[in-house]
Amino acid sequence: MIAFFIEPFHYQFFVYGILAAVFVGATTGLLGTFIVLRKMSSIGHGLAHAVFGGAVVSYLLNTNFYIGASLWGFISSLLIRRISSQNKLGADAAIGIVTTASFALGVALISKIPYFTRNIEAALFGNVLGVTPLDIAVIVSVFAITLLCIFLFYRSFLFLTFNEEIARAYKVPVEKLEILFSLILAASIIVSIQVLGVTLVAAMVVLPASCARLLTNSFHRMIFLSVGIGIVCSFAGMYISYYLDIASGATIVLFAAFLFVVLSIYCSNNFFSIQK
Amino acid sequence: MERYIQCLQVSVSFSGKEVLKDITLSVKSGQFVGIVGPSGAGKTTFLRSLLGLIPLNQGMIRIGGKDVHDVFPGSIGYVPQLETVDWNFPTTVEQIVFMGIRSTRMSIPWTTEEEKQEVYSLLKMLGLGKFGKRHISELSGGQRQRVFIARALVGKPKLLLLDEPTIGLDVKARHDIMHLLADLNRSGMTILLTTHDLNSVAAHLPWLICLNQTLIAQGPLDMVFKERILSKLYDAPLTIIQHTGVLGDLKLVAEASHYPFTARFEKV
Repeated sequence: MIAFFIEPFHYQFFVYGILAAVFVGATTGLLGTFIVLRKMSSIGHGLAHAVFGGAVVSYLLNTNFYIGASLWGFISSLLIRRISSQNKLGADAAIGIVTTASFALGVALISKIPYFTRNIEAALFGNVLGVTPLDIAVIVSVFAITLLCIFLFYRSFLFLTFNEEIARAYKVPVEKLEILFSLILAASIIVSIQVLGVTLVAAMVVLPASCARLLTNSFHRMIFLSVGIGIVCSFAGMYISYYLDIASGATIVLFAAFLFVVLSIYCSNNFFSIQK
Repeated sequence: MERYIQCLQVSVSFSGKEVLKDITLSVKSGQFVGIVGPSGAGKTTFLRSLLGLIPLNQGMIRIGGKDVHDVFPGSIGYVPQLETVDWNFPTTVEQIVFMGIRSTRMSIPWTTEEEKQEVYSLLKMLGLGKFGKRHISELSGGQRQRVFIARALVGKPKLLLLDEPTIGLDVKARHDIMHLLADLNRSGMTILLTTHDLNSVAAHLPWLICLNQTLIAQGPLDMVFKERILSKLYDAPLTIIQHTGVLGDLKLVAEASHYPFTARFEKV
């Protein structure tokens, strides 16, 4: 049994991969709580696609991936907010417009670069086995910054997530918080793409938080549970991926989805009887 | 009494459409004021203007002698319409009330013992002491409204603004809320509330503001509850009924008969 757990750690790629996956799971779990409760679940999906355009542009301009994609993701999230705040269009339409346009730009540029095909596969579906120590350092840094921001502005973020109108009435600096959240979200999505890929990042933003919501009626407990579930899913997904030889990103997401189904069944039977 | 709220030629518009036009009025410190008017009259917009949430096209609002944007956070308590609240949000009664505390700046996430005492003394005052750990969806309409009043009272505001605080409540809950607000007013708090309910709420308030995009009238009940004013306010024929009974003199508003329902009653 112990050998079962230890064996994958003989390989450096697995050690790097599981470290990256665990921190990505924790980061997406942390931010996912706010996103799910604000009913903006499609933002993760949209931003991941938007960042793809930024990644291609930064590749063409020969600039650092993290800098180019971060800038692109941040601008995209600000644009989404700008469009959705004009009342006539909701956040869902704004996300659809900005992110698909950005993704389309990336695809259009790639069609002009024939040697880009391998990289595009890694970007779309993730390449956790190609994680480098630099990637891990970036992922851990983004997690630490996200954690610090949530810690320092927890009360403000809670108020904003609960009800933006009331938060504004009490002079909570909503605009500044939205910008800060957009920044850390864009950074988190970008570092997650390496592990999960553009197409699967959204799932890990939504699934751990949704699982946590089924288990508790308390906001702060939901945050802890969501982070914990994100870590467990990443850990379990990496092991299953190793032993069954399936793509890691997909396995992590499938495990999270399986957990959600199990919890849904459990909670539907106990919903009115257990004290949460 | 000093003028606590001063509005001078306030106009607000959304997407080019004027919602409030040239509103000039003042509210004295310690007054209990009801804002009445039909749907879409701009009552909520007026409250939001007092909170500094809406840019004014023209005019000026001063509260306690300060421009509305310079008012200290927490010095105005605000109770929104409950229909804007997500009752499935994972939060307990005490957590809702905690939300009013130190949420405008960086702070430690957990609550201190002092904050807990402040919150629970408010909850006890409003008869919610034993509900602190309950999820908000487990409360009745009246209890939910009291939770949000408790939330608004954090920071000991001098002014309390309530948007339709009695909407959707049964007679007992409405009675309790109005008595609670009257008690708060007696302790010196200035209170402004919006209401649709002319007979059960507005008819019992000492001062009314009639708003339908412009200021139609303002004053004590006897001055404002007149057929001419209310019919103009609601753009519908309304009749005032004077009722004298054990509760004293009451003025009630009756709508004109609605054909064909009246005809059916006549047959019976």
